[in-house]
Amino acid sequence: MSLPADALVVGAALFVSLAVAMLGRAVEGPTIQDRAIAVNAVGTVTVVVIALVGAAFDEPGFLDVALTYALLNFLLSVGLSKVVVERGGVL
Amino acid sequence: MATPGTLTAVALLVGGLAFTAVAALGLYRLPDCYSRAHATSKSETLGALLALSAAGVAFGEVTTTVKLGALAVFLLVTSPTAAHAIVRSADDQGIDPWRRPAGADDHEGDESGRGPTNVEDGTAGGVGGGDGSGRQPTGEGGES
Repeated sequence: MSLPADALVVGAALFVSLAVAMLGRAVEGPTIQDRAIAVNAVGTVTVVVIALVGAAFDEPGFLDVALTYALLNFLLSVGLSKVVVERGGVL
Repeated sequence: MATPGTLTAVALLVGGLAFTAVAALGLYRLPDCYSRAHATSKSETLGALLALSAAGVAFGEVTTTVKLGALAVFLLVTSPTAAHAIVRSADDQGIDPWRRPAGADDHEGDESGRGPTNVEDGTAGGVGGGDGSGRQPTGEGGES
């Protein structure tokens, strides 16, 4: 049972490196929307990483954390897009 | 040893990594916030679904599979919705989408310094000026 755990940990590490690469767009995005899209993508990768680490260490409680994080990620995107327009016509 | 469950989990994980790498590449290379949202909302969602399937195969229990299925459905619904909300806020702000420059007919003209969100010209018709850059066709060097 050690080979899937190792593979999942290595996959989670690669996902983290992809998230770091996505943060470059969040740093140098010209508009607010570019940064918001990049942060949303990083949050999705974070949900996946939490689920993979929970699967690697065989702890089902991590999935609740992943669900909550996905909810907060969606809430952040919608709230940010409503705040930026300041007219409130989004969604 | 390589059980079928392990092989399935590793294959799904590699697929998810590949699609997420495509999303990261599109997020870094595409010239516009609209096209960046296009890259992340689809490819990123598919990569996340594949990776969550890998986690579900690696768990192999009923409750975790149900919970991961709920998480996958939630991501499948909310990730394009969030991208749509962000892009719609960009459109309400009046950010023009990227257009191909007038002189460029090849795929060399996609450097990220030129593309994004030229709010200040506002013409969006492509008729103004034309050869404002005035670059020679031999000067395909590294400056940008």
